[in-house]
Amino acid sequence: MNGIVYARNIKDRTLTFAVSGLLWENNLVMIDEETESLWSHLMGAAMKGPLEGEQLEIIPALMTDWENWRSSYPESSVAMMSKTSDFTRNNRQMREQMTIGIAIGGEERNWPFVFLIDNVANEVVGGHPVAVAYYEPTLTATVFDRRVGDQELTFSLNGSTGFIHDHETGSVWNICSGNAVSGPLQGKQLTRLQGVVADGLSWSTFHPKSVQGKRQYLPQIESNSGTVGPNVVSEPVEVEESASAGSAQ
Amino acid sequence: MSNISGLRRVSRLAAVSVATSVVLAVGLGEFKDWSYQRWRERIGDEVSEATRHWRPTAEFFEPAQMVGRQPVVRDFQLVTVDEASKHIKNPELVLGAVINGETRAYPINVMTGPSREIFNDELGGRAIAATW
Repeated sequence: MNGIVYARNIKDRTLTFAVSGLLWENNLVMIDEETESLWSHLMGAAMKGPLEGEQLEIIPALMTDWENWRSSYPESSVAMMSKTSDFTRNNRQMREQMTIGIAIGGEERNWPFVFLIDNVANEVVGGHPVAVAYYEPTLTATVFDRRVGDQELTFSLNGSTGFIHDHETGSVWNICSGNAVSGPLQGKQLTRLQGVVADGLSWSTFHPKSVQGKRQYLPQIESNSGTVGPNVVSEPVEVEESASAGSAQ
Repeated sequence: MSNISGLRRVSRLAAVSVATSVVLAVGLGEFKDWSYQRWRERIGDEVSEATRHWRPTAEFFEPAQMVGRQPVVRDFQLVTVDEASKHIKNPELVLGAVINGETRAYPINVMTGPSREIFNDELGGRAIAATW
């Protein structure tokens, strides 16, 4: 249940991986044909054999459902074989079981899907400002860098459309591709980071130093929105703005 | 008269049985809690003792052979999203990657099971392994 894309090379040497048939702590152990080294799947690290101690590079990837992928990347190619399962998304099970984690800049952090149901997590991990985006209806989960050029953005999820929008410019971004589809930053693209979708237990087993990110709640008031009604004055919005301005300094 | 004494006897019996059941319930409840507590503590101690020193390092790398070694997976077809839509329907999930403008999806339902799990591929000029 761990979706990871690795670069399968160590320096200039390209490796070919197979399933070793071994399990370590209930998790897949990969073997490379070239050196017969054994690799922990979730760590991407060679645990035994000539390449012991080597680490595979993670290629940024995302998980999503078929229609969201298809509409976001209509030109994409698809790796097809016969089906081995009819595993379809079970939102409730996935929500309770899965986590999205990242190891970057010497720091490890993970967010159980339940933490992200209401909103995007905007945090700094290992010096990198990250946006952890999750949309439950399509089970889209991925991590973006929050920087576009020199600007650092803060994102919120629009729970009815599945798009994310930034507070600084109000631009609307595709949660799948990271493309700004409207607003001042239209045409810009977010850089995807090496976030990993993993079974929560497996992640904590193989990343014992990982700490949990903040749990996200629905914002009480949508800033710059007329939908909150006349009884709510703008005071809380100002508090929120001064708080975010304070943290940015 | 006999009716009254009969009532008294019944009420005394009832009182005794109520008292007994209260004592039993409280006692059993305590016993149950106590044994459960002890059981949890013992199991907890054993688990923590076994895992206290465990780390995901080579020193603790003790994998178990569950199935035989599987052949390498690299002979999959590359199809368009329209073609793939004949087989992959919406509740299904994909793992997706973009490298140097080249985009590929790996449907989870063709990746599960020990005979798959690792797709050796090339994308955007890089050798990659898409794994599940």
